[in-house]
Amino acid sequence: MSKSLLTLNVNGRVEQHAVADNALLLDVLRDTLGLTGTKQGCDGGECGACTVLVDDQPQLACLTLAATCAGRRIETIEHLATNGRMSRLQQAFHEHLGSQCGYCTPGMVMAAEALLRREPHPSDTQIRSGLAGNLCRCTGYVKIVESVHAAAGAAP
Amino acid sequence: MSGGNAHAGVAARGGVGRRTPLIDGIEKVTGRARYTADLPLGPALVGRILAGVACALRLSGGAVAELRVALTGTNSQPLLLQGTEALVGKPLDEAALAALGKLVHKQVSPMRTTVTPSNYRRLVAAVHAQRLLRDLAAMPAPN
Repeated sequence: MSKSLLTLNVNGRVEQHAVADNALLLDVLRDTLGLTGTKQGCDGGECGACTVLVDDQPQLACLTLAATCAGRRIETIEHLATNGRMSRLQQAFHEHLGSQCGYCTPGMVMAAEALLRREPHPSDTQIRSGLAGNLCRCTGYVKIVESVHAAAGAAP
Repeated sequence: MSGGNAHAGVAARGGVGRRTPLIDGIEKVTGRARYTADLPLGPALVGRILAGVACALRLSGGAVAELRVALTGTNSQPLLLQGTEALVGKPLDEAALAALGKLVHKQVSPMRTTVTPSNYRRLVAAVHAQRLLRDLAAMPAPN
């Protein structure tokens, strides 16, 4: 498989990487860039653990070819905290126990982040449908929905 | 200590009805928490368990007197292989091993993993059951 030189904008850093044409965004993020916050769950688009934002839209990195992201704005869980401070959404997940084992958390948080960007004050139903593509085996979702509500309530 | 006192003790420490944040909660919500899949393997030797087999065999005069085979790691719970009594009274030869392999292949239902197809795991379970039985009976390995 031939490689191409891709210009990727990941978490605000624009860098060029030689990437195989069939490489998945997930593998480039985790293996090439070392951003292991984005998780590989089912590796088949069912669980949402690999959710990242591409131009503010939640996207499954395990089903996205890295080559299709050239020149687009990619954001991962590592981008939400600034200067070591958690974002209000992360803070809410932490304080309201929105994560247990934590494996689905980066995907949950990124999907919730996308939701709050397009709908700053979502209803219960909007939160549930915004996170419908993300599976959690620990929390039963109640704490997760509460966390998103709390983050929306704490909006500046 | 009665149940009431125990509860009072916990309440005094502020445990009841109070959320306790996870000690690694911040690592988890920021993506810094490292899971097995996040660790670079480097030169580490990596293994994977595809199936586990246990056999109990009693031979009498070269023929199978009693045979039980249990498998683990293939079904949602440990599996005691059914139908092994069909081999009782027969010599433990290649035909018997083939029959045993068939029983295993039929009854295990391993899940597909990202790197291992289900049928491969069936074959591995069958081959391991056959090898174990071959060892127990001290049969020569096939060429």
